[in-house]
Amino acid sequence: MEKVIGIDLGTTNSCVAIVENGTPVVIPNRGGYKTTPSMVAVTEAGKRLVGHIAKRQAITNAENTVYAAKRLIGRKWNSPQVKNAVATSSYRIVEGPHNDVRIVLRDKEFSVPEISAMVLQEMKVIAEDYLGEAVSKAVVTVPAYFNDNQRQATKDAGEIAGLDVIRIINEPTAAALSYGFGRNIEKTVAVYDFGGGTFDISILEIGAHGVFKVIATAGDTFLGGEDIDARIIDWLVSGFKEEHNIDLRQDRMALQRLKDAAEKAKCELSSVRETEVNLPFIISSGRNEALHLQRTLTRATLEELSDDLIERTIDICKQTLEDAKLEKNEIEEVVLVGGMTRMPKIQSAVQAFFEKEPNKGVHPDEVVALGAAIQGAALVDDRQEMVLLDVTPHALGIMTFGSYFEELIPQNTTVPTHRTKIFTTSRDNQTAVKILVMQGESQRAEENELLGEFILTGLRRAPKGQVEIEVTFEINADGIVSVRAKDLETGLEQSIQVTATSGLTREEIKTMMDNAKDDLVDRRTSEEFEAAKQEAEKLIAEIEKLFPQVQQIVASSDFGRDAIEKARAIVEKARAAIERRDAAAVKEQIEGLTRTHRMFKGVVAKT
Amino acid sequence: MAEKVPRLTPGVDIRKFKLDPMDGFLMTRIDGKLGPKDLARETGLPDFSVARALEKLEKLGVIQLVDPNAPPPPPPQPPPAERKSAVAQFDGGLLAPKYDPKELEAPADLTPEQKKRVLDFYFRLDDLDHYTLLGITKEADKKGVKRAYFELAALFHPDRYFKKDLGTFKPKMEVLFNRITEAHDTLVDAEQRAEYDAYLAEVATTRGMEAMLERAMADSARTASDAERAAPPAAAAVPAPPPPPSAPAVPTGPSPEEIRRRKEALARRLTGGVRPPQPSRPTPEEPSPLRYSNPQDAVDALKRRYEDRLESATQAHAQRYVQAAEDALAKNDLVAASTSLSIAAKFAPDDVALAMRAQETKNLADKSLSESYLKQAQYEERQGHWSEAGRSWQKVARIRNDAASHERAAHAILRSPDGDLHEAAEHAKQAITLQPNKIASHVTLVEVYLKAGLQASARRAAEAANALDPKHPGLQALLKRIGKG
Repeated sequence: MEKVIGIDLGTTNSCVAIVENGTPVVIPNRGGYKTTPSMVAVTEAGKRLVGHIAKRQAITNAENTVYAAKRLIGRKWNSPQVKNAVATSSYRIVEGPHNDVRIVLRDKEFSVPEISAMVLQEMKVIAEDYLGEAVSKAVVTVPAYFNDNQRQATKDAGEIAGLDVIRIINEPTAAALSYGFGRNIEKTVAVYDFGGGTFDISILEIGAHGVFKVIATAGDTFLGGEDIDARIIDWLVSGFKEEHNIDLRQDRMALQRLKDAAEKAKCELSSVRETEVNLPFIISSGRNEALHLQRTLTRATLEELSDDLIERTIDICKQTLEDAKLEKNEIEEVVLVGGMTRMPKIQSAVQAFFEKEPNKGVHPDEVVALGAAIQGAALVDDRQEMVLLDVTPHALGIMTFGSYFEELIPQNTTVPTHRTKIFTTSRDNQTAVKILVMQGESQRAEENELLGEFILTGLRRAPKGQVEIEVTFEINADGIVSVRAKDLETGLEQSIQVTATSGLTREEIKTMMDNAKDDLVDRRTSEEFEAAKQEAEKLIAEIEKLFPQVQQIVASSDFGRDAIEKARAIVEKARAAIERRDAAAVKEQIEGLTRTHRMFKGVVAKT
Repeated sequence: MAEKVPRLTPGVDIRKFKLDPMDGFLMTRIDGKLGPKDLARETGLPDFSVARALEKLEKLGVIQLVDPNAPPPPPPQPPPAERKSAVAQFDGGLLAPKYDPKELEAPADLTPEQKKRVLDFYFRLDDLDHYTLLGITKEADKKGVKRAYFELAALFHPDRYFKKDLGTFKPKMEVLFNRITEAHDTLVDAEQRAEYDAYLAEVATTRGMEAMLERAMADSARTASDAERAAPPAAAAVPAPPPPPSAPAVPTGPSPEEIRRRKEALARRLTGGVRPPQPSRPTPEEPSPLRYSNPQDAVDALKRRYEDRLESATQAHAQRYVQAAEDALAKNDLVAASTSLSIAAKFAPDDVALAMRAQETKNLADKSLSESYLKQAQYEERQGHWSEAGRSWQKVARIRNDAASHERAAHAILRSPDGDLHEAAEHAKQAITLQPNKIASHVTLVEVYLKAGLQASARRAAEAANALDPKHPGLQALLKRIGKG
């Protein structure tokens, strides 16, 4: 049977594992290390370097050494995250032809998946050296909160590296697989994954028959150890500026040294209370004289610098528990994953929030790769009794008339799944509808990620709202989304398989959305509402017909005037409810309208 | 192999179990010969209700599942059986397969057992509610739901058959996985589960009621011939005996004494017009045939005696049903009461008071039944289950016979994928007859005709509607469509 490796493609470090004789093991690289820096460099001679060797030469070759490429994968050039990276990276990031991101190394442009492919290829070679045979299949992990574009780009990277990525799984899920594998437990587990570049939280149920069910997952793809490093760098840079009035950021090599020093200091502070940052000859003062940077960083200062970031992770935990409809005390185990969870402040914050001491039984750097290997083995090996029931991390839906996002598959829905909703045309004589497939949680369509679009044509000319279009979303076990639109009258059908679209600017998307506005579908008005509306409108019309007569009859009495006022108010309320398209409210008003109508008729009949 | 049949466990005191009226009713039909399917037919209950009730009864040790040809049961009571898991309920052969065995031969990378399992579940989906699908009891807690779901998920999740050719089984397994996930998601969420339970309760009561009504109809049809045969009625012909006393529907109700007094009062009211109740066994004087010298006299006497017996037999019947009605009323079961009373009235056709009482009760029962169907229909519409909604609206319409429910029925049938358009048209027409100026009914009728491809009828209906409201936007669209077509 073919072997499947599991790769944790991390922001700062990557790790590869495999299941051997039923036991998952991490494969060490040639240097004997179990993790490999996710760094790629090109030397002056044009040689490619990956891993430790790339990291070692980073200082002397800062401009041609890429780190944290994962933060850029699947992102658009004009996204704030990329803008931020352009400002802080020591390597050159430029705009690609499709509004994507390119990295320039020795005057050559590389796409981000190409860079990631180099890391994946290195991991593949590590595994092949260890196994003594070729490997072609892999399960690769991504942050749970990655959207489909980012997942697709990661898959592309695998393909470039010569790997068939049989499945992409979420990092915290992989960690949970590793935690629960072969233990035959029934537990609800929270995985708090704070890595180099991303933060994720997932809540899973581990049950009998090797079933792992994800209940809820959330995170922030731009919140990680790198951000804490950046805080330290800021602190060092601003201190240096005060002292010497020189901005170290202007010097790419100095910046790389600062980065290394910040990371080192951060790691040291997990075990000691204070550490010295010592960078001699960091920059020249301009008078042929080199300046040194020397400062003492205490754990307390670091905690102060990173306080709001940690707070943000706790807020996300809170939200996820709510999404999962669970109380804190229903979480039976908290598993810590990712290098950042070594930080004492983070451990205590997690413990304080979940009111439970986190499990320290898993290795935070290796557990994700182990989980990926377990999933790989479970897929290809019938003897492995393990099934992962994953969820979709983002809601999926389409854009409807008025730029609304209409959700079809909610966040945290177990996949595979399919959902159907019926829409109608949004304007008179509309013969085609554009279906814009989107992903995200915002009610406003433009705030969500656009995944693809297609057109259904040949609709019957009719007033708006008359033609019904059935839209079906389907996500298969591989996470592939397909969308189908069907004209319910003619049976005509159009569908697409959503593959990530990369290379569209926000503006382009906006233009696309604007252009599509005339051809969108509309939410179908509910039967219930229509029925209530008809009834209410009929009553209102009849009441209004009687108004002048009734007014004449009862105007002389206070009671009569009062009654007329009340009747007016009821009619207004009903109208407002119709305006809001609020079926329940309209129904409520019908009672009042019926009473008023009866009273009016009574008044008129008596005289 | 012969299908296993349930039989009452000998020597079991059923009063010590907590059973509900449906169980009680079912038990009256368990005779050690009828299988689950026969029982479903006999009781008019849906397959899944019977299956669940049998499972529960078996678990409690009230019944045993035995080979119909097996020798009579040994006297000692067996220990209560383990709960059958969802998989076991099929694997154990409790239910007969419901599919064409040829399907098992469809090519797929699966073992015969796996294929069988998929087909067993797939072809029963319509009969399975969320609980029976997962193989759990209605009392199962969140953990139980999850455990059952995990067991099935491990069988039906597509990852179990990664990169395998599943042939025609693939779409079926996807449907199965979706359904078990829907069941799990509904049942672990307290709010959704409550809503679903309420829906199931409506379905169960109305199904029980339907069954009872059907039996009542059959019974009253048989009444005449039964009475003809007079003499102590055969046990099998006695319809719907009141649920056994072991089924306390209201555990914390009034005291037995109180109930008895109420019953007596009710009996007096109900039987006001009937001749005073006779002792249960009629004891007319038994004249010796030797006393008749002349054969004609003997024949006459025989005829008299026969008529007397007939009379007392029908009276006993009427009495029995009045009694059953009292029991049902004490439990607030209007439908059962109504059914019993109408049968009683058949036995005592001259009793006007009883007939009126029966009619009154029937009206009340209809009201509660239609409300229940209405709730079901609305839930089904909300869930997008149009076929079911159509059936429920039809039931509402049958009872209420008002324009609104006929219109809704037509509408729902129109929307359902397998709707009978002829029925939809009938409902729409009835709605129009009942309330000719309701435009919605007209529009629905036009749509039904159009969907059925009856252009001419559609045009006529649309024109009639147009005369009513020339400005209705939906109608204008339909008219244009007809014009074009």
